[in-house]
Amino acid sequence: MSCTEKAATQDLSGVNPLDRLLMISAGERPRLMYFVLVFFLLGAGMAIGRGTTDALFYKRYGIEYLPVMYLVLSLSLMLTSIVYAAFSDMLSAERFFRLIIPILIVLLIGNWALMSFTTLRLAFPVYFLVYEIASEVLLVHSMLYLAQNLDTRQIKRLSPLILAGMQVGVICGGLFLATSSQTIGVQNMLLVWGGLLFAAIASMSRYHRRSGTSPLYRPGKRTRYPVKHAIAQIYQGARFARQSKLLRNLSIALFFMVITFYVLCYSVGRIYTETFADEAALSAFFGALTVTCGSLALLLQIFVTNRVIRSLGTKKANLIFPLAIGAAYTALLLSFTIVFAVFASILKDTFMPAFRNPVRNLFFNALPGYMQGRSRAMALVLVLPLALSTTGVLLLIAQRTDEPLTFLIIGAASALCYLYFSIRSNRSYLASMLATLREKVFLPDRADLENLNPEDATVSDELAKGLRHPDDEVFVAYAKTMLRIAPEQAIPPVFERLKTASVRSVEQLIPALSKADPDGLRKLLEERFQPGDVPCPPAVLNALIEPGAESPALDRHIENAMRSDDPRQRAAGIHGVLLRGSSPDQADAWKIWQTMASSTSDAEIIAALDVLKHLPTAMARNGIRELPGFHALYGHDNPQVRLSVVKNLSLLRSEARHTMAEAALEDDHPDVRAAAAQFRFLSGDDTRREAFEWIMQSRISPRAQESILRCVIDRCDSPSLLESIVRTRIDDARQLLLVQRQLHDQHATGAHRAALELVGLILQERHDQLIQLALLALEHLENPVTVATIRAGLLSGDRAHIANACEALRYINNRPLGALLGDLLETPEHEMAAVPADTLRSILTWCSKRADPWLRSASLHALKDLPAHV
Amino acid sequence: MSELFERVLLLKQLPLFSGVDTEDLRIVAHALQEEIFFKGERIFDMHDNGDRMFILTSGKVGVSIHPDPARQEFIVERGTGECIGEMGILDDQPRSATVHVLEDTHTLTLEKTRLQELIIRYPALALGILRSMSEKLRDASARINR
Repeated sequence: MSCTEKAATQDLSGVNPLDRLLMISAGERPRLMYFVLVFFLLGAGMAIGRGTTDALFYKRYGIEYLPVMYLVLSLSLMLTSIVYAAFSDMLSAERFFRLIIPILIVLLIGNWALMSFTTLRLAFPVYFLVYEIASEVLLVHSMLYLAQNLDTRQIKRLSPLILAGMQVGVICGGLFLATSSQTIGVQNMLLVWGGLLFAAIASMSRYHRRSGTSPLYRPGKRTRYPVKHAIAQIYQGARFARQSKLLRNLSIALFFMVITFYVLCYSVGRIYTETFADEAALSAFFGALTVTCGSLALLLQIFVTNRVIRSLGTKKANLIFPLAIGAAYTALLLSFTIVFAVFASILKDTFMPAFRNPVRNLFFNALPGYMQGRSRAMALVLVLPLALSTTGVLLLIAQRTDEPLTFLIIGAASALCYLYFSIRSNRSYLASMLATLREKVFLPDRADLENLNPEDATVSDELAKGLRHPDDEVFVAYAKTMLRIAPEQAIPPVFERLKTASVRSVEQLIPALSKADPDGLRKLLEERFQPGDVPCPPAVLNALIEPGAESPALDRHIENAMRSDDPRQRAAGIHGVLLRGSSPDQADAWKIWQTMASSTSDAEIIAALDVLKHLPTAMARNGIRELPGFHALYGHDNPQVRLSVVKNLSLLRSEARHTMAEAALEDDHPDVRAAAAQFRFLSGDDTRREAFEWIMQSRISPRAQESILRCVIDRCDSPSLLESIVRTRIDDARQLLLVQRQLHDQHATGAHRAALELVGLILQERHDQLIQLALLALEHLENPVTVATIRAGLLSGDRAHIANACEALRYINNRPLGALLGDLLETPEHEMAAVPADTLRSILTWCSKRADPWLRSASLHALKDLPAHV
Repeated sequence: MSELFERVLLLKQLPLFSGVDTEDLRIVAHALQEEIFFKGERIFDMHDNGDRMFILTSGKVGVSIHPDPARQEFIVERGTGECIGEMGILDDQPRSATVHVLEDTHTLTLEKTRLQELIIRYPALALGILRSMSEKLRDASARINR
């Protein structure tokens, strides 16, 4: 299935208005419901955990110990995360969940028992640690779980909904906390959290029993020493951060985000602890705050997040959370009171799930798949603990003054750094995504040979080394490059090497050398190919032949060639006789030529027609005139014969040659189409202008358009013209897609179904070809490597690469064109502009009027037996 | 003409050609030859040369991997629109199964040499077939991962 089929063909009939609003494609709903349920349970549990942890710790242990707890937490988090990293790539996300959730349940029950049946105050910091570690691991792993199940495009559409499910869970958890803390008792809430976790793992097991392992999961290497392996992985993640600007900037941004976030938590926590009398009241307040923040975050996630990401783009959306944090600090700096603390908490806890988490996932998707787990592990094991311990130290220092302003300045400064590194992450986002894509689609680095400077010592050394390479093919490749960029330097070593190189190498370099040094070439060929028993290769003979000049050796070569059984050699002989021979010999040669051109052997015909290009035009025209079957040869079954015919079209009379060239533009073979385009559109400025008009007005099929565009694009120096081509091709592709969907909605049966199916397939193929055509034109407006990478990604057939290619399109320099193409490729079918439903007959009639022979004939075929009532 | 469209659609629905554009499939469609087999016949035996593939346009066949070609113990049955022997035209391995005709069967056959000739002339066909094979491989890999 092609890229755009994947992007576009979904069942419209299954999409109801709600799904339309929420951008859920047909068939996605059951899977989405499952993820929403699991994330709901996890969210509810975490809300209960968050409120109870803070209330119990602040009131029963003391908020002044929070900086110390951050230090302890950083170390615990590092150790736990190493264990996490040991398994994150080795097990599928769901199997890993089945390991960690039961452990967490046991820890919760243990903590509850300590709080209920002992007077140990240690239970509170332990619970604090359990919650903090568990929530971090669960959050990171939940995102990995999503990434293993949804591609970038699905993540953009569906992750806001799934995270909204989590948010509903958070609201319900908060509501439960707000209403039941006083009655149930804060510590008994631990058991409720345990129960929710149990329900989540049970659903997960049931789902994966039915649907198998997460589809985008790629197992890491198995090892006997997982912890050592994990440390190695973290090390690899850290090393990768040195190479990858994106990961480096993301990591530094995370570092400052953690500092600013926890300083804000501490600052508002101080206000809350002073305001509320006991843990039950504080817990109830946290419940109410959770409900408020959760509800706001939910509304944002459902109605705003995905639209903001799509309209602003991933990069601008990445700046929303840093700016929100900045606003929270500004508020607290204005007034360190409960009202502003609540405002700051709302900004912090609303914008984090609504914008920061989904956008961060998108950024991670720009990294190579095999590094994503390691990069996340590195962030969790190194960056997060380092940032936490830094926070702890900074807060301990700030505690000495006991002035809120001190904490707030630290937090605000970190928020500024966070914003700065988020901007830097944005700058490296596209480059990283393209690098990953290029690696995946195996697009080699294209050396810009035209820009090589032969004066550069490294370049000239390398080229000289290439010319001495023992492999003839390597030598030829280097020689061609060198003859193009520095012919004077190239000629002596190339001629020297050609004295001993293979005949094939000589033949391959004749075209380049005949331009660079025709006399030198002649001398070399005459010396190397003396007349003898072995016939002279046809390309060599053709290069040696010149009218008039006396050369017995050349005449012997020609004589030998005329006697040869090889059609190419005989053709070279004919060439020689026609240019050098006497009139009777020439007449004989023409007879042989006619026999060859009328032969049943494809090789004879091709060789005969190739003779014409070496002859003076008048002579070649005479030859064609004497060959009555020349026009019929265009109907030949062998594309090489048709190609030879098209290459000689200039010898025909004007009307006939244009008709044939226009027919050849729709040939089955790309080389024939290309030759026809060259003949038809490269004769002058007017014909080139005409070529662009033909493309923009879709006066031929997309494949013919591509041949024409490839032929004239290098001579187009008008960016606005190319831009018009891109725009008109996108419009045409959109129109074809709409028609294809209308056709898809027609529920035909029986014999018509097959005919309609074929028309639908052709429309889809034409749509894809037009997209590729638009990208081909775009390649000449943008960085060609970037566009080539995007094209390769779209053609790869891999949905993850297609999604990344679509995302990359949005960040090319010409944003409007990138957005136009991106919208066409990414917009779910139900979001396409509604078009009035046409009748089947009118759709097919429209298709049959397109200047596209294959689509036209398939549509006419479908129309032929259509009952009158349809 | 109508036959051409039907053949193109039939080819497009085969896994081997699903990645080839319909326009290029016209070339393959022209190379197909009709052949009829009657109930009780064997289309080919295990270890025969895989010189062509068969697309069933009607009828039913049974595929057996029993070493005795006469034994009718089928691992799978194939019917209209399905294909047999498609791998044989891409590799040089002998047939890995015997195919018995269970009902009178009309087929369209494509000879290996003809396909090879077409691929040489039209490299786009090879690219399309590679795309199909790569998709099959990707699916298989996803199934194994599950």
